[in-house]
Amino acid sequence: MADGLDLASLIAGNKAVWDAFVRRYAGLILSAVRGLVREGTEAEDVLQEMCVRLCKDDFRLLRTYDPARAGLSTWLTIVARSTARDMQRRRRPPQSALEDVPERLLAVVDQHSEPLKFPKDLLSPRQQLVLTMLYERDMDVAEVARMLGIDPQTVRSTHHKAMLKLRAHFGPERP
Amino acid sequence: MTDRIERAEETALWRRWRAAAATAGEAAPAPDPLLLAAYAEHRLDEAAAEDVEAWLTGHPEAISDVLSAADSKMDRSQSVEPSEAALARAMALVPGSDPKVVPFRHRARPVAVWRVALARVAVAASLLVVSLVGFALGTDAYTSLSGEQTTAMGQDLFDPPSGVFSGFGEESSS
Repeated sequence: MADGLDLASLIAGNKAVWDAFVRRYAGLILSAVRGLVREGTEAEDVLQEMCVRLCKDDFRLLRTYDPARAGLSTWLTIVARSTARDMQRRRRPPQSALEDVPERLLAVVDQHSEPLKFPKDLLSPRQQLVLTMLYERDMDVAEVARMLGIDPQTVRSTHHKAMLKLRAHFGPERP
Repeated sequence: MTDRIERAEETALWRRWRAAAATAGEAAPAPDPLLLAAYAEHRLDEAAAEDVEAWLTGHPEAISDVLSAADSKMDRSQSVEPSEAALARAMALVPGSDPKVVPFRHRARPVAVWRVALARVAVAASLLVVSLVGFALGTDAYTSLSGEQTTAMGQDLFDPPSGVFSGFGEESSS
């Protein structure tokens, strides 16, 4: 069971259970992709595409879900947004948003100086993610804390320690 | 003012690091949706969470996916109402339990060529027999009506009675 839904019957192809599943989660799926696609027809196309992915190959994708590891709503949100992105990529000609291009590819290489060498584990994955969220995604401390499930003070502390490491290695930057 | 300068300095430091560092997250395999969902619900241990965070650093566009997933349980009032047509379309993907089954028409079994040939030969033979019997009976009737001696059945086929066609010559000349 997941969120009160009989998963075994759903995967077995029970029509009544599938209809109940669609009625219950269609709204969640549409709101999950809000902001990624236009509301209305485009969002409903994502809903249909996602339902096709769930049913395909004898419910292969749905069988990968494990209620012991995460909630069904959470999992469906991730799958819905992934489906919306895939559909967008198929529709758009291949392009990259500037913010999606890693900075190192945009950097101008100074051929007259040697590249800086620094230890790859200078920053921990947590520190890198905090700085990414603060400086690349322009998130505030409260949002970062909610995302990571930690205290806002811990976010500030993580940020501070990361900056100390970067300053120690590169020296302070003068804007 | 000092905060802004400090913020600008920190942003510049971060950009310098990003430009120089090849983040491991960019090359890391994408976590499956269930792993990301578990991360959004803070159910992963430290090591597993670090792997996801390294991947997210290399794919910052997925950060909003994790945030939306974390919010999905909290705020159901923001749910969008789907149209009945969209619901019907999705529900139709799973058929009912007793769909109408239309049986195929019974296909005629192919008949062997020799059987067809044999049937045709039998029809031809029976036609021939009927023709011979009919001719013999007709000749006998004619003979008995005309009062002449009956001849063997077989002789009539090859040597018809002299008077059989004689009437034709007289009719045409008259």
